[in-house]
Amino acid sequence: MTTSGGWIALGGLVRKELRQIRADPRMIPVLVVAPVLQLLIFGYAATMDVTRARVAVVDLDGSPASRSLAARIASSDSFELAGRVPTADAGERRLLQGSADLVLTVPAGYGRELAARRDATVQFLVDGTESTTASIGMAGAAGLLDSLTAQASAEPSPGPEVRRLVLYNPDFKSRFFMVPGVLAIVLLIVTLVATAMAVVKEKELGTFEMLAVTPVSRSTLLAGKLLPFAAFGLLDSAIVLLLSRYWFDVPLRGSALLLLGVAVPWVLCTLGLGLLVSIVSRTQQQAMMTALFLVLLPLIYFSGFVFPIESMPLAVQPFTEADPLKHLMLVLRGVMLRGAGLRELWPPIVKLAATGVVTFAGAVALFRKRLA
Amino acid sequence: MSLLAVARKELRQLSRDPRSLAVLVAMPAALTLLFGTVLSLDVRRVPLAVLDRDSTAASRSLVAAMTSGEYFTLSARPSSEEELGSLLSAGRATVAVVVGRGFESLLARGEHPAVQVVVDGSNATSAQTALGYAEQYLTATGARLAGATIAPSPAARLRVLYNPELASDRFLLPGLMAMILMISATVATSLSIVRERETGTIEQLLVSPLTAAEVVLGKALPYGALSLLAALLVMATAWLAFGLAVKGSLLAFLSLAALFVLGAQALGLVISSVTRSQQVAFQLATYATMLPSFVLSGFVFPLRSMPEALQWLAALLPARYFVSGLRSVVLKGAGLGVVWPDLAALAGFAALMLGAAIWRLQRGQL
Repeated sequence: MTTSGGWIALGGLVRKELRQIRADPRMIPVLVVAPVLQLLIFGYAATMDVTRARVAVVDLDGSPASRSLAARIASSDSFELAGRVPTADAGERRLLQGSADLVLTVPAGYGRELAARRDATVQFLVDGTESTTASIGMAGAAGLLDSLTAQASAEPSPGPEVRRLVLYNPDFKSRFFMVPGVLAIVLLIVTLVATAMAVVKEKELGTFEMLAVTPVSRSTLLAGKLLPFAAFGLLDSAIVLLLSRYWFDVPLRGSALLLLGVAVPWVLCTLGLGLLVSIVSRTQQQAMMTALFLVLLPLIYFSGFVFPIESMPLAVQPFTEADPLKHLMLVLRGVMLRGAGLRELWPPIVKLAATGVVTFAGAVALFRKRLA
Repeated sequence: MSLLAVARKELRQLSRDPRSLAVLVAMPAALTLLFGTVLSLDVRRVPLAVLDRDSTAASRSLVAAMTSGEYFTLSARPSSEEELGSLLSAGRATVAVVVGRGFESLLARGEHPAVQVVVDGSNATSAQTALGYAEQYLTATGARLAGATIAPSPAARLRVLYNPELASDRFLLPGLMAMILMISATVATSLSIVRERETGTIEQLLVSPLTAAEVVLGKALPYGALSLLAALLVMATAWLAFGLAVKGSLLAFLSLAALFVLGAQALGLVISSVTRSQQVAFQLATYATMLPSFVLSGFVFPLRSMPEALQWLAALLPARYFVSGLRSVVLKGAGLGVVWPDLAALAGFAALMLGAAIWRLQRGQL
């Protein structure tokens, strides 16, 4: 691309690619609308905030005391009354059907025991399948019973006073954490998938050989192929970033310029990966399978997007360093939520840049070798 | 049977591409093994920074108590508030504990010295859990250091059914299986019609005496059998590697898997019949499967916490019924009597999608 002829050829190639994109009336919606839809769904759906656990009550006592216990549950913030059932078996059946998360059984004689100031025991049955909901239900149950016992003794216990301070996301909104991740994934899907498919398509149809015998240099050819998709990727990220800021009110506390800066090595990564996928695939079907199962899913799962890296087995954790998406997530979340800058975030930025350069250069070198 | 002829042709084409065949059958099981080993939502090894201004036996045992379990890992001991702030901002610590000067002596005098817990709230879920653990540790250890004896309240017995250790992998596995199977099954068929269109062979199929239904079912059948095989391999993997046996009715499990796979296949055929290039079909299939089966299936995010509109959207998708049905059958030991609504929904979805694919082909709008 040293000569002006190279630049003209590049312009022609980019125009050809854009015309091909436009020729398919469904391509533009897929490239632009789908990412936006994805953000909207994720932004609203990706919440693990279980507000209330549903409790079915088996009241075998039927005394004023047991009724007031049920009333306390109905009025508590962590519970929602999911109805009363006559027997313990019926209660367990509710758990099996999934129409309740907990069953509270109040045994006969509960009111009498309580009136006699003896220990009155109730039983909570918890559905453990959804571990997140279950822990919240159990914490709620413990809290409820604590408050019942605390009514008896009003003596403060000795020990330190533990004060809490929550930084960056004091209302604990899951959305703040998820939206920056979606931003990264949108950019990944658009650029990687589009690149891989576009290159393999020409391979499948044999049109790449036709282009290869023209006097246009290999790098120009490649640049013409990749530039349009890189542009779409960046356009999509800009749209998604604006939406997350102004629609979802996710803060952008750090520098937007830094975000734009890390987009460059990230796009290098995804274009490089797309190219690698296209090198190892003969048909578009193979490209699709490889891209989805060997690239997209592992990158997403190992990035800490939803599943915390610290809870992975220790032997696996070092491998996550090879995942560029992980570094991008760290940077995006750091900049957007915590207002971090270069001083705090240089390690992931350096790793991201290194991965980007290595992936892209490696893919291009391999590609030229294959084509030569 | 011309339906079988189409199926045979599809199979022959597939067998010429052994790599795609292997991916279709074996990849779901391999991924279940890999991700099932790795993924967990449990909060563990949270990086903890401690700023201990007291440096006494009492403050040290407070810190030691926190790092004794598997919940916290001591990642830094900053010497100033500024340093602490920058550790949190860089993400190198998620929870920080600040013990003030005079902690030990105040405690000895029976007073209530302040201990500050700072938490990075950006990851809302794990931050809340970690904060809860930290407060529990500090309160309990502090009380013990102050010489208190607190008897736990005997007022309730708590029994957890189906997943007594509350292990998140038990909860995640059914969702993971649904996601992997959904993607592989849909993707497998999503290119099948559009590929014939791109290469021009679709005209040959259409001028042949085959009906649209025969073409669609002939394409769905072989892929359906292969995907069902993949589903059984996935279940065998979950059983052998993670001890996740089918507790409930085997018949219920098989019907769930078969209907789910058929629906996914049919969805792929619909995508294939409305697109004009494999490129677009791929993008559509990715968005139609990966996102809904990850987000709107109850795999990770509880459906009940979502806005109502999204709950309705999720109700239209098959992954949600497969995940809830699978959890009931595999974890809770339910049978057909409990999961029949899920089965009915899956069957409805499959019928609807097959109908749509046939209708698209019949109109010959290519």
